Amino acid sequence: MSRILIVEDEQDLANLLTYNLSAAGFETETSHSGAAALSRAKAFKPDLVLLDLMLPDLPGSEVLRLIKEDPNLRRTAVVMVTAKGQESDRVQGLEMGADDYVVKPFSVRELALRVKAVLRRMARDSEGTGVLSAGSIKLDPARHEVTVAGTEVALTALEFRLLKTLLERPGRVQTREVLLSDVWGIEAEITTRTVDTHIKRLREKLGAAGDIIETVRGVGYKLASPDKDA
Amino acid sequence: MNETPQLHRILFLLLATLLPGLAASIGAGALTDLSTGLLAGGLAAFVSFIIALASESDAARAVTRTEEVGDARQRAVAEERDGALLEMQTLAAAIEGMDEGMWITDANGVVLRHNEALRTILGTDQELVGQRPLFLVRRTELHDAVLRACREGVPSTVEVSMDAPRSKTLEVHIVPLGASLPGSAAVFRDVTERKRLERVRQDFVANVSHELRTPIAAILGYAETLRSGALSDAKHAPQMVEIIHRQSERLGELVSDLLELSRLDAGERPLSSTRVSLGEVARQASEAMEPSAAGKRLSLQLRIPPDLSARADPKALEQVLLNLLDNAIKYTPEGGTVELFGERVGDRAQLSVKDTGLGIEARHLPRLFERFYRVDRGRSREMGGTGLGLSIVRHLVHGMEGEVRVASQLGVGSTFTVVLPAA
Repeated sequence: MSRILIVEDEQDLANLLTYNLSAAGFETETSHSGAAALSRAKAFKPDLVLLDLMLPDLPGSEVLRLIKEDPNLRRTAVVMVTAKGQESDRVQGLEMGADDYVVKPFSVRELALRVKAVLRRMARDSEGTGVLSAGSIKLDPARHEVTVAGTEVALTALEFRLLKTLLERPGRVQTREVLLSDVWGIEAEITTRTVDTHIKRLREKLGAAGDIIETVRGVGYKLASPDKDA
Repeated sequence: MNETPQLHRILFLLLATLLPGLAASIGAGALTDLSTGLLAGGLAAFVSFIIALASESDAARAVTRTEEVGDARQRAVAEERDGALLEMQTLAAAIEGMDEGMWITDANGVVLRHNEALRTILGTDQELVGQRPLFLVRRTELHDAVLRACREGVPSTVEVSMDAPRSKTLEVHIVPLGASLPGSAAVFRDVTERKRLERVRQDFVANVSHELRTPIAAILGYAETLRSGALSDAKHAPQMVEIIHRQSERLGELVSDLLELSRLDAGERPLSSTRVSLGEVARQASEAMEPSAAGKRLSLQLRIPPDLSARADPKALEQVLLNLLDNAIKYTPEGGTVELFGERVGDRAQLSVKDTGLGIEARHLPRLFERFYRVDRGRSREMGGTGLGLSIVRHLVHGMEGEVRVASQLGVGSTFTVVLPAA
């Protein structure tokens, strides 16, 4: 049973989410502030955090950043819940590593479906026939581990999935829209800079080995094909 | 020497510099045309000339007068020069009288002259003449813009944030003086307040959106949950219906308060100014609030001198008192006291609502009357407020030419005082 931490300061909404997610078969806990959420997450070890962006103590975006920077929490999926429907907030959240977002007022049924989809994608990350590799990069889906020349690189769940997707499709150009849909599971209704931001961060984390991810100007990205690489 | 027409051109150019809108509307061609025919070496000399003009012009005129010339042509030249001097004197006074700061630089961007307002805007006592922009305002974008104007003849407007001596935002409009007139002029406008108001407006819109969406999310979510099967959940269904009802009420109150504020803002609710017996209004308000006070076992006390009256709008004043009493009752624990008392102080009549409630930390007091400002979001939500009550109170009291004050001590209680013109 997947565990979900609900971070929502409105008691009525927190109860609403608890009721529906429990009915959908999830184990839930609730925190009413950002600070409480961070300490609760460490003990509860949720698979997914449902994060309201307007919290009484600190901005939800800050909570998101702290989760993604914490070595023990960074693989936790985060779905943002926001009353600020403005695109800029959503895009900022996605660029910071959120897995999906829901805008208030939301349909509880749709929210449950989104949560399930994110968890399903996460589960798929550890599927695979074996270790994927390109150059000095090795990705082990079962152990959820990425190494460059033998040294482990700490990636968030999204970065891991992005790299895995590219490694699975070497030499083939992946458009931003395809990546958004396959990695994030969202249709390209939002600006595609989210993809660029994550590719940039992924390259930085991979160091020199990251050069294997090539930019195809105006189209998207591709992993340099092995024959070209040789 | 054909000096006067040149001066006219420079004058015009300078005026155009002072008025950014006008300058913007003048194309590069027009500027070039304006400066055509200006003698070399003009600007620096001219600038010294214009700033020193106030003192020199009398002497200049005296010289003009002593030039006893019979020749009509020479007299016409002298008259024209007199006219030009007068215009420039006016201009010098105008530059000094401006709220905006202004400087003129040479071709290398070194400040040649400035007005007094510039010192105030930059918040400095140091010598400005002879300095480069980067030394005076440590922002490369301004420095670059000045050099662009000097070297490439490109006008621009830059926004500069300053941290010291105090945080402010300046909008600086920089124009080249012209192709054959080396140097640039810049006009500095302090836009800190405008920026602050823009932010307040944006925050307000974001807040309204948040405050409206939250109850809607709850209503929608619970209705959907009930429809998808929870209706037959005998344990939870009644609670859900209760929440839908409560959140609908909250939404309704929020919309009424927003409309009220918007009417007050737009001046669509004219307030009368009649002689109002404060004892009478206070009695009505406290009678209306008696049931909620009794519900919390609070003692609601009234102490108003019978002859105390003020110039006010009776309805608005009652609304103010209801609002303050409602807050006092909400934030006072059971068994406490809420007191409504009045007194006359000089030509003012005061009404105070004093409670033995939770009290408010001093740091919150200055912002207490702002829209959606919350001392404790969790607590005010429990109490069911819209976050607009005190803002409406302040609006109404200001509309009656009064003021509202608050004094509070954490754990002891708060006193809100409405001060009105006595009648």
